[in-house]
Amino acid sequence: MGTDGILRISDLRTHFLTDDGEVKAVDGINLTIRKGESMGLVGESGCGKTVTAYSTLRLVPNPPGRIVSGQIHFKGRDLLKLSEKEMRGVRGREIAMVFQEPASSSNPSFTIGNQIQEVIRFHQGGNRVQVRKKAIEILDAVRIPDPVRILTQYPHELSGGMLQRVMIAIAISCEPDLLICDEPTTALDVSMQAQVINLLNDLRRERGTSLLFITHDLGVLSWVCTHAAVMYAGNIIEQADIRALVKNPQHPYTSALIGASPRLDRDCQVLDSIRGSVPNLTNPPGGCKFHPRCDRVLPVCTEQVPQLKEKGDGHCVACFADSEGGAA
Amino acid sequence: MIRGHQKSEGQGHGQGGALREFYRRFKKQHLGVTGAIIVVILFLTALFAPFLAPSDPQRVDLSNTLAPPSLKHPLGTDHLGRDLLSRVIYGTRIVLIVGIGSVAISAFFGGLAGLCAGYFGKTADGMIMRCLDVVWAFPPILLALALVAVRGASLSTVVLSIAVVGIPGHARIVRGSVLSIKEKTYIMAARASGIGHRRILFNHILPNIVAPVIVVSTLSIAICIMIEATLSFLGLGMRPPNDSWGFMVSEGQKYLRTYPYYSLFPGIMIMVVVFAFNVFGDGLRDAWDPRLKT
Repeated sequence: MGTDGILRISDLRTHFLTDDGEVKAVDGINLTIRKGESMGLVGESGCGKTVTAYSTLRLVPNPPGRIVSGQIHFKGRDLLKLSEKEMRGVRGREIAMVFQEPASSSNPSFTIGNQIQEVIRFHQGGNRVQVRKKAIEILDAVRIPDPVRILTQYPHELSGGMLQRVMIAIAISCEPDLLICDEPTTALDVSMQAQVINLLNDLRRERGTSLLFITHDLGVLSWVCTHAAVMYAGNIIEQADIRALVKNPQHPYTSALIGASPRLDRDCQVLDSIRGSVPNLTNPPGGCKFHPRCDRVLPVCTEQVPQLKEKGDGHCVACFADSEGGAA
Repeated sequence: MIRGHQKSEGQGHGQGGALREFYRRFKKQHLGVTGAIIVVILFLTALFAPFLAPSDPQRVDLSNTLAPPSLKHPLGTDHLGRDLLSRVIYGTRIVLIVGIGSVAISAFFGGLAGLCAGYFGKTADGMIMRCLDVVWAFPPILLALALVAVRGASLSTVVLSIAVVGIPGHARIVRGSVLSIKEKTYIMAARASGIGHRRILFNHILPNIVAPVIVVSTLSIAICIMIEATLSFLGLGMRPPNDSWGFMVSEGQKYLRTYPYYSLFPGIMIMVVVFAFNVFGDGLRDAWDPRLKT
């Protein structure tokens, strides 16, 4: 891991206190995103992807959630040590976030113009004319046709894809260094997905914005991301650049995930599935949390927790089976 | 979940659209519209009382006391020979000042308390709501009565004491709405773009809860008018020359067997006004409901 990372998360643990006990939603993850890099975070529902994103912005609802330990270094500062006021300057200004459902992440009572201009005014100031000009520019940048008219419209009046582009426009309006996208395409149909993804790719190329892209769709992932980390039950179990991860997955869970996604170049009637279900995080299985569902389980898997180890070329895996295979 | 992604004919969206939609649904509430019309008439009556009243409501005419309805005095006269119609007309001013004034005060303070309690939760919620529970636990008349007893009967005391009674109810409604709104993704999105708590509370949450608060306020105007009438009837409310209908009913009580008109007309007016605000509020609520369901 280089030190040039714009975002460096180390040993982050975020736990939720529930009536049934402590849920370790994020259980000691390390993640580095470099400038202009697009890091994908993949995994099933409830594996801690969104909690990682919320932790980065320090928006974990408290109670019940709490960041128990770890550091989140962003441009040389530990975000977890900033005051709430300093943090407000980071949110939106330096790290912005795009949410899954554009229809519910936009305020129904305000026009698009109000919502964009509020964020610009809040972080950058300026008079009405300047702010409005900036808002039109930014809508233009996300290829919204007729931005002047859109400014006066309400979220309900736009289609999902349009609205998601507006939400991206709001997010990038203050030119953040890091854009967190939490499944931004999941609620959209395929053609809209393509538009949004192309837009994100262009933004990254043109503005050098780093991306943390949360998804469970491997197709979308390989389209957007340069690197990816696979999460399972609160841990990162494999991390590599996107080609290596898709072509040569090392962790049994990653291979299973890839096997479970539909592909056009392969003729099959039934998709593979991973047996069992996501473990209960209040009482996860001992050892490797994936072992009850794993096809390559070894005796050691039930006893020890595998650590993330580099296999060369920045490809990191947390699996015993693989290290045995590598040794052989 | 009904979410209008696509814009379609006849379906208003957004704030302007929602208002139009709201108006369209409200128009179908015939009883509610009736209530609204009565309320409007009431407002006009209060505004133009000097032009509508046949005579000065305080002009005493001892030669013509307790006269039955006639052309000159359509509702008859009271025990001092004052024109009852004029007194009833001027009474609308008191009723509206008390009803709307006290509800405005309790909506403001109750709303503020509810906003803070709902948004900040934890200790703030516990402290604010427990304090209000104490107020809530008092029978409203008794509480108002105690306040009047302390401050003496006057228009401002009556408004204030009825307002205090209404604060917990408003606080609860607002708190409940805030609790549901603050979990919405757009509030998280606002926080993720760096907006502070106060701005979120007043600029993002408040506009989304104004409508239910208006509905509740309209309904509680009716209750406030009832409390005012009750207090005045008990002799603890308005004093002459501030003619309250409740006070007139109370005065007329003495002549109920020989001269029922005295109590009858103010009594009917109380009934009509309370009915009007109630059905108006119900209509607003029913017109609002479809949106609350989503």
